[in-house]
Amino acid sequence: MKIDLGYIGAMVARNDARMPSIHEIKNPLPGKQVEVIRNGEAYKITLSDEIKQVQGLMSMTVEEFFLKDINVQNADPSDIFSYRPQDQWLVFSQYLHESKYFDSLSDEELKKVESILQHITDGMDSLAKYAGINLFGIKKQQLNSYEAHLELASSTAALQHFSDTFLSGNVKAGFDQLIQDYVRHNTKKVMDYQSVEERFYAARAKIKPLNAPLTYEQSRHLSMTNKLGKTIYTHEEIESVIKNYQEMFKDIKNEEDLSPVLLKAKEQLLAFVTKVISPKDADYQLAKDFVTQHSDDTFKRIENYWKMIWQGKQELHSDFRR
Amino acid sequence: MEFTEESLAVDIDKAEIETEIKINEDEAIKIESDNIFKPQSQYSVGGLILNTQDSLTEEDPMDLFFFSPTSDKILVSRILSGNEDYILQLYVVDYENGLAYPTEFTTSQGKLMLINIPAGDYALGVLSKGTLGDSYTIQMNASNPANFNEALYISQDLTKFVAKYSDGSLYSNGQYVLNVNGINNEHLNWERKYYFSYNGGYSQRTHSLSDIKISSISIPISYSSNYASSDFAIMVYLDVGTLFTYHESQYQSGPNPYYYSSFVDTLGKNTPRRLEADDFNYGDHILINWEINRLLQCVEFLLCKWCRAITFY
Repeated sequence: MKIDLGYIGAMVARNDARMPSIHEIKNPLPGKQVEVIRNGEAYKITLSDEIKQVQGLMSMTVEEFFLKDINVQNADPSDIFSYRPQDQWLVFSQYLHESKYFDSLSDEELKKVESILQHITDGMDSLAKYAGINLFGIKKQQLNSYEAHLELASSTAALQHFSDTFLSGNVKAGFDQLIQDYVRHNTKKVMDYQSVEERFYAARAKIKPLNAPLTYEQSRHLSMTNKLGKTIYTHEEIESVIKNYQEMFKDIKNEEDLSPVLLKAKEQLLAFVTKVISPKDADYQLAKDFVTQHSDDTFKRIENYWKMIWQGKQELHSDFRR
Repeated sequence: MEFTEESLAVDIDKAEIETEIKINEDEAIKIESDNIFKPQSQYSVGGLILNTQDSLTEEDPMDLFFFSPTSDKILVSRILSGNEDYILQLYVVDYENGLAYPTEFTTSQGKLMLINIPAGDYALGVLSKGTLGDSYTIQMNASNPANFNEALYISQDLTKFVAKYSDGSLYSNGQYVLNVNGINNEHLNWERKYYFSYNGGYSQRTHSLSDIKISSISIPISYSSNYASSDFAIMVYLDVGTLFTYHESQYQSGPNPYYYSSFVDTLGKNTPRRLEADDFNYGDHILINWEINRLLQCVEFLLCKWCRAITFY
């Protein structure tokens, strides 16, 4: 599949195809006069229905616009997701659009399916190195590295569950191949990834402690974040924790499976982040609370998009499934 | 990402803090079809940014949003609505002869309208090719100069747009921010002074950065501290060669007065000096540029001695 930079969703494509020609668009108020203030002066303006050709107006296509996107300018041609790092759902949507999967769906059903995909990739989308053109962000809160590891495993499993639930035949085979590309793209990103906040704590932890007057709360926080900031993870450790998460999410077959898996994943995440802090250490509980609070959004997002899949399965008409 | 008060040092002058940019949703002059016009309200970004909601009805089948850029701009606009019949059309306005003409530039719901427009008078019209009665959101940003080279950031409501141009200059919502090639960046020079007096003595520390060299800039971030906040701050990563000065002095009066003065920084190096490669072993050196040419913050690990003692810990 080749990236289509002009593609910004199946619903937009559908609307665009329904767009009448310029001469078919009827001005509902021809000859009507309106008042407008410009530079403090009131003007009466009559709405003409004569289409004006204006020199100097240079339109740009959506594709031309996205060619100027910093993400596109830094994209890797061998990695299709690198063209849409903060809207990876668009790659999946473009594939389903080109595969004609959406053709049998109503507008409402189409919106629902695109929304599920958008929510699934939303977490990993926040890891984009550059901001660029952001037309669809849900909530691009930057993930911490430990959230990214979890999110990679969960979103991959959710995409696979989406595929198993809604797709079949060649369309499914192509979609599953895209999931592999998604995994490849995002695994590369998470291996050396740290949030700005984590980078800050890591750098601050290198500075020699000073005899500065701090409140008790400040001292505790500094001590705890210094311990987290000094913690080093090898690629093997990161690969291993992602694999553990993958095993957990693989067990999800229906809605009842979700809560226990998320509980297990949370235990795994806390153990991973606090690996160098002894449970006897006074900072241990503080670190656990800190990480729990920081990862709360991620657990909620994961829970939400898994539920969206099951909800979508119930709501969409059975005749387009499989 | 959100910085917390304990994660960053703050040194800004409170008096200089401006309130966060607010996009006023009625900033464009909006003319209803019944000839009752809404007055233009206060607007802080020049009237070329819009993100507002309204609806079309049988009585009000078309809305027009007028704007008049005084130089060539890139117009980025779209409408969003549950009604797929709604469309957006660009009008040109001839105030002298009292006429507004539709142009060939139209776009469907959800799709971007992208036009390099010369200085002039325009309006965006929202109309329907079918049914009426639904609400819509119109978004527009025509604040940046035309013919940009790179879109560094556009927010999903289009109210924030950072663009780079062929000469390396960066504009954010029409305001010059910096030049990535190091030209015309004097406004990024930064200084922080702390002065504490006590019984018969004082202590002061001064840090300054000038001749700013830029290695990269960040994605826009949300930022909050004890003193200021912004949801549109850009971090400027400093490069080797940036000029750095550190000075501290202390004085204590009394029978044996004491005075101390030093230009040695926290890494034991004499200043003024240029940032060197090994300075970056401790982390990034960052200036935070807040919205429009406003230096909000310096997160500078060379300054951490002081940062830790005050708000940084």
